[in-house]
Amino acid sequence: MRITRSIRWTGVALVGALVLSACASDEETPPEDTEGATAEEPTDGADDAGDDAEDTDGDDGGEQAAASGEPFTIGWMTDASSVSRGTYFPEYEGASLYFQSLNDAGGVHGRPVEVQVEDINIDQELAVTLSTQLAEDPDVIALAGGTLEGRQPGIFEVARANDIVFLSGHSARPDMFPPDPDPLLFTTGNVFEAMSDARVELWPLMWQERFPDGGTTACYIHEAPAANAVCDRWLEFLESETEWSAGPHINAPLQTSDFSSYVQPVIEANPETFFDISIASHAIGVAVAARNGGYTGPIVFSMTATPETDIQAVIDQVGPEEIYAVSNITSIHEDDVPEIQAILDAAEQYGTEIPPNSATVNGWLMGMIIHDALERCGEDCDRAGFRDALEQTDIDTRGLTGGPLAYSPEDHVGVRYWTAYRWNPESGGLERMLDEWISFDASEDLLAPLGE
Amino acid sequence: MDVLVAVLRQASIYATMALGFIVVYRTSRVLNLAHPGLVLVMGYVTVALLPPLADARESPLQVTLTLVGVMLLAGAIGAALYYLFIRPMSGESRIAIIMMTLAMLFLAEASAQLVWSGQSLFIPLPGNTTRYDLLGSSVRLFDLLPMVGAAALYAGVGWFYQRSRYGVQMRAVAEQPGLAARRGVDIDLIGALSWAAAGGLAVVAVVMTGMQAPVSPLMVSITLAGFTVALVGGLDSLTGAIPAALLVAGSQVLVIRYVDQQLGEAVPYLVLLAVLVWKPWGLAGTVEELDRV
Repeated sequence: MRITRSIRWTGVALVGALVLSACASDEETPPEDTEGATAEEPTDGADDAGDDAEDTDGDDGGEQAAASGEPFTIGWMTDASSVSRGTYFPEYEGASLYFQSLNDAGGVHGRPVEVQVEDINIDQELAVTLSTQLAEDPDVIALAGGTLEGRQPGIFEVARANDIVFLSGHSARPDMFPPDPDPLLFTTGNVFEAMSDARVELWPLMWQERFPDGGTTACYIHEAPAANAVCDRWLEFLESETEWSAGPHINAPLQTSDFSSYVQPVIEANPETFFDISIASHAIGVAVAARNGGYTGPIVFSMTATPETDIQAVIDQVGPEEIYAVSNITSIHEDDVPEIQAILDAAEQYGTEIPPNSATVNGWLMGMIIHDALERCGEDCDRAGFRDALEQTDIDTRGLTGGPLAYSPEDHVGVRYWTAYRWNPESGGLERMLDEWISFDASEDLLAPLGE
Repeated sequence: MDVLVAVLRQASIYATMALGFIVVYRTSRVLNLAHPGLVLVMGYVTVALLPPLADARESPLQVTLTLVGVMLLAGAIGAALYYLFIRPMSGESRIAIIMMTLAMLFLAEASAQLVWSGQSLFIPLPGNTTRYDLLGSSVRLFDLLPMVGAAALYAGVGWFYQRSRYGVQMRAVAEQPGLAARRGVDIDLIGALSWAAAGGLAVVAVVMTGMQAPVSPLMVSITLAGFTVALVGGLDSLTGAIPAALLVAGSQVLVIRYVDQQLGEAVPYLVLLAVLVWKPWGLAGTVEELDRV
């Protein structure tokens, strides 16, 4: 009898936990947002995405009606509820904003685009389970999003098994790389080796006035398979190709939250610069710990992983001095770029959980790419047609990157353009540190083969 | 000097985390695996209730009052958890009660995920940039506060157990619950008090941790490091927890700095394994407690 009672109470608590977990997963499933947008009347303020729909359709001279009919469904995976949410969730929100605007302005071939989002956290099993669920849904025309680079191979297998495209956002893998990419895998993100090699060129440009003879730089990334590519490879080539020398390379296990001890080598070495690239919770924790420990030099984030909202969290804690960022995406703070303003307008109109940032911009860019491919694929676009159309992508990103984005049968990454920002304490935002963008063509510019 | 400060600061945080486990175990012999969940939730609640840092710097009194309020809230939650989940289990097997606290941990983690979506948020605490020159080194106020706080806590809790009426009753319940009940001690009240104290201690631990790191789901792992300190010291031992905290934190800091950063998060568990092999009841735990665990 007593055992029955204990089991009952334990069962109640466990069920409660499971219900809450389930709610937590479902809570981040706001396709109703996008569906809601399809049902809304067209707004007076139809934005650039909507305008784009009109432009590319070319068959509607007047005011567009909201899209209707069977939607094109994109299965989107993100981290809505764990430590890398700050990096990946805005990407989903950016795409969502794009499609809501697009749908209000008439959609694609008159059909709305719906995003079916799943929270895969940074959980490999969940990624496989939920991507399988999406891929097995015949209405889903493509998969997109993703989280940590190391969690992606499972999704790749699902994509291959179901013959469905996967367009990854922030994190890319060599599987997409030229000259022989997997036919189903595309990215707007970065393969870490390529990103590191681009930084070899970018770094001296960033600091040419302040440190004309170079200096020492430290590097942080969380413990991951990519750690070698992101820090070791970069520091090695920085030393061999430039005046800069390698300082400490530190990395903490993923489950770390107090970085005080981990950053001590940086504080002791006191390098001229410190590059801090990691998922949001790590990057901001490391930066704050470094400042708290007494490091006063430049801390440089990678906005691909640490968008403006996370940088702001660091600044709130330790002040705005000596904060920089490198990026292959235009900062949301460059609101004189019309397409950035369009994103801000859409965010105001439709709302976001996380204030728009560079990850939102990347998501919006992904929306543009999907939209463009759907346009060219035709009204009855299917998975195979979408893949073929995606492979012919060549779009003007309208200032969201430093140049056009193009894919080809030999290259599912395309050229990346990099620039640098500095935090302006006066304006309370990022401003360009470099006027120019440097271009990096993965098919030609690698300093060494991948993985070496 | 900086290594010493790092060890003492980390040990202080771990010791405070450990205290949350110890006060419950000493009174009710319940291995409270729910404590990390309470720490996590109270971390987010603290962030939610405190004013933004700019405002907090202007009104430290408001911050202090808010933190006291959060501690009281956490105490109330702790007592409620006792009455809702633990009291109905009285007389059940210990493993069932431990499983119950494990379920409560999952519940707390799921609740935090539902409400705060795994965000990483700094606790807005004024004084975060204040530094002092100490023996030729620049030391942060937030390095010193955890040390002072932990020392005060252990002194206070030690005094409470030795001198206060409820403290003595807690010891009585811990040693001979049946006898204590026959002598008129309200077992349920004492149990609820210990859980309430653990709730309040969770907030103190959160604030100490928040002086170094953001509140995030990873806070559970820090609290579990505190749990290893409680086990290394002996689950029912206040005096054992202090050297245990120094041992765990010292090993961790030294390994991270001088051996291999990748081993850093594993060190508390390696120390735990080593100590339990040597002394299964911990450095200063009561030997007969082994059977009860």
